[in-house]
Amino acid sequence: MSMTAVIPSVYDSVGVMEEQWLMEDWSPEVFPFATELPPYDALPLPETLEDFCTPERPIRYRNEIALWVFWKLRKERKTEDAGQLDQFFDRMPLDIIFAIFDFLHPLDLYHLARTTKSLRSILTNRASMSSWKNSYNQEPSMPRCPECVPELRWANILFGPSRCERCDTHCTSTYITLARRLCGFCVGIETITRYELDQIHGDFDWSLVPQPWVLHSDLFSRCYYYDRKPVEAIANEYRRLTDAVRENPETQAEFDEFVQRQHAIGTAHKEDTTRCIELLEEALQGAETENTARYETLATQIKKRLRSLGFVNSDFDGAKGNFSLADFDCLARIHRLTKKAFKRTHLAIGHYLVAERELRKKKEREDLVESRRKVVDEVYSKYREHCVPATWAYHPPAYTIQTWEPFATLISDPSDLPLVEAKCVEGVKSLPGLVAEWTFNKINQLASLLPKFQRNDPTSSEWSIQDLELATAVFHCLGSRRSANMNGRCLIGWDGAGSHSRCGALKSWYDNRVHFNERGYTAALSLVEVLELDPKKTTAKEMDHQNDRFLCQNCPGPDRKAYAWRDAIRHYLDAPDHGVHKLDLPPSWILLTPEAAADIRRQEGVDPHYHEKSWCCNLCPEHWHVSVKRAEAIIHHIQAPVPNIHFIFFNSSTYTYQQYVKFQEDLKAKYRCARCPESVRLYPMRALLGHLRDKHQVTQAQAVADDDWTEVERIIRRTPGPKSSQAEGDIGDGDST
Amino acid sequence: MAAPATQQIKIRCNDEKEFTVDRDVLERSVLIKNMLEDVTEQQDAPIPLPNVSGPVMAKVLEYCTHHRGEPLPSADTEQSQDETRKRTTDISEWDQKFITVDQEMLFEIILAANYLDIKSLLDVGCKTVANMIKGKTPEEIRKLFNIVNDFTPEEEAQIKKENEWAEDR
Repeated sequence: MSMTAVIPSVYDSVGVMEEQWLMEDWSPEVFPFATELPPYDALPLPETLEDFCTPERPIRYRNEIALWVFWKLRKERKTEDAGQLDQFFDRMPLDIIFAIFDFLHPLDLYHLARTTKSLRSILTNRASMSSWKNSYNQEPSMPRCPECVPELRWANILFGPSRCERCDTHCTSTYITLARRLCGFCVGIETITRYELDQIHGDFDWSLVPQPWVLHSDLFSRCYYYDRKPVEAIANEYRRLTDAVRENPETQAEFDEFVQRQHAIGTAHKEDTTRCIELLEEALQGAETENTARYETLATQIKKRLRSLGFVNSDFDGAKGNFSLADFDCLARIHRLTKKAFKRTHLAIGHYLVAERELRKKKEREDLVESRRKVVDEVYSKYREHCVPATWAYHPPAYTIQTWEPFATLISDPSDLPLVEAKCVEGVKSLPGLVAEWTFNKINQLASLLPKFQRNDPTSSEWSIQDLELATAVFHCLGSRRSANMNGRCLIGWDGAGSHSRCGALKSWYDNRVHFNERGYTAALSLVEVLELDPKKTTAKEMDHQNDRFLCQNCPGPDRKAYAWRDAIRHYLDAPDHGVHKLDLPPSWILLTPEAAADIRRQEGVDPHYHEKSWCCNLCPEHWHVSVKRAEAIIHHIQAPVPNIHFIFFNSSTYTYQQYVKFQEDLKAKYRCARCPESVRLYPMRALLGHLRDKHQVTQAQAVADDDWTEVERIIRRTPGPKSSQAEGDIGDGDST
Repeated sequence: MAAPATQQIKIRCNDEKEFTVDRDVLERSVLIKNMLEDVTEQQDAPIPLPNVSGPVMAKVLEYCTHHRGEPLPSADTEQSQDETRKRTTDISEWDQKFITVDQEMLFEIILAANYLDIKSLLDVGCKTVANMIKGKTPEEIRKLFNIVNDFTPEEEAQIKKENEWAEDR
């Protein structure tokens, strides 16, 4: 049996007369797996190159190979007037027409077949076969047409739109081996898979069938879809010969011949397919290279034109990342930037560019306003530098100055001109009055924050500025609390709150101001009460002057820390955060006697603020830019410099805590050496005897009360309440030895 | 028997216009060459060329005179070239100038080259037309040849899309 008879011709059943001539040249041995082809004219229209590039069509469905070839041809063409070859095809004999076809690229023939039905008929006629062959032969960069595939179909595979032949939907899968373009759904219907064949024919030797390949967009891969009829014919023949060998071993030769022939077909097919894939990959690579170069050229040209329209580079850069042309489908369709093409491009990307330009202008305006603010800040800074240093901390912040006239007008001036200091002269002249007014308002605002019960006169609806001097006028800066600015957590009176008005955290806080601190007030109130002073009259200065020491009854004993009154308030505010005691505990204090407080102060040593670089001279602006240590702030050779007159201290954002001394409750140190009248130190009895013996040569037997030592009380009183009894238990009355 | 190179041959066109041309020039035409070879004795009667007019013949003779002496392709080499040669559409500068004529003359030159069997001249004409077709869309080709699109209305709708795309360029 002849092997060529194994595979029935698909055209017998389809009966397409136009392609009938192909039957005779069909060679299934050479290319047996592309035979199940519907007639070419049954393919969906359009099948032209242009269809890839219609605006409705996504760029990803473009046939890049076709476009690349087309533009190459386009570059070489000459512009001719329409109608120049009028009646050409009517007057020319067919052999001349075919002679012309010989010189055309397959893509040109493909386009000719799309012009009229008569030309289509010529190009699908057998007589044009040599023209097609010559056309493919003269383009070695294009894969040659397989012998059993109609040339026009092959041209459609190479240059046709990415549409499914069966359902006309977009698809990018070109089955090279089948010479068909099918979507994922239709390929399952139109072909048979290896799995299906295995189900039907069992143990089939798949080496007898060449490996099919598919091109997905720009990626080749193996696939397992086969033309049903030819593969089934081979499988049936394989089975028949296998059965025959089983029954009659003498037919082995026929079987071997069959296998050998199929392998030869497979080898030839593999070579053809490999060459075809190589050429198509080269074409795809060429298309990509040209696209990249074209995009770059286009980008340059488009940017140049856009710049002439008033856009700047930053408008492009911000518009779409790096203004990648690939992001704009409309640009990908442009090959040459004509006026029309630019107009379309401008329309497509215009809104991005305009938006970017607006953003740029807005940003430029913001930068301009910011630069003007800096000028105002500098002017204000120079003004402050020449004020008395003691007032520096109480000046309004710069962002407040910027809102005042005439600075606000200068900053928001609609012109594009930068602000120069000379324009701020008038504003600077008005600054003293404005600052004084602001300070007055600020003091009144703070005073108004104090609750009625805290005021000197609770019956009055008006507040008094004197209320701010009270020890119980405690404020705090909520912004500082959030930004861990420790200094803003406890601000007492105008000294504290007023000097805190330049805090950076206040700028971003919703109401730009400090708030009354009720917990701080409660703590201060209890301290004043434990001193048996009048809270409505006791000022912060009086409390500072007394300089007493307090123990917190809420803290666990026996080694409680002794605090000055400001630190005691701070301790009460911070203790819940540090987990020392609970938030809801009311303040409860133990007031130490002056003797005990003096001994504590002795142990505390030097004020730690002395070593901070937060001091400056109050007589000159020497330390305007950089504050110094306390000792360095005295620069005018003053014999007895007075704090706050000759030099001043600035609170920094980081509060330096005092080295708190633990009140040694269990040591029962309550004796003072009577022979050392200057000394404020308290001793336990044993240590006192040692001191008398070592320093004053007074033995224990010689030591006499009142002459050599005196016993002192260490605690005056404590805040009454539940903690008092506990405190009494914790703190003994001393050693009477 | 080879004729002397200086032999003058008369030809008569269909408009009765006569030309006296060197034999080697006329032998660029395979048709005339065969005629001359078939005639053993020298004749004074002009060779009638009923399919070529005088002006066209003048152009053809201009081409033949320019290319006189160039080797003629033999039938064997021509056959092999048909199958294997890479058919470039490049035209030499002189030929390009020569073929830059109006549409009617171009048609006549191609037809005359075909009739007189002057392969190289026919190639020049065909290449010229091929160059006009090259790189054109179907719609542009229709305009070039002034032919009407006779596809169905559904096909016509698709072709409109093609035009829309073509405007991008």
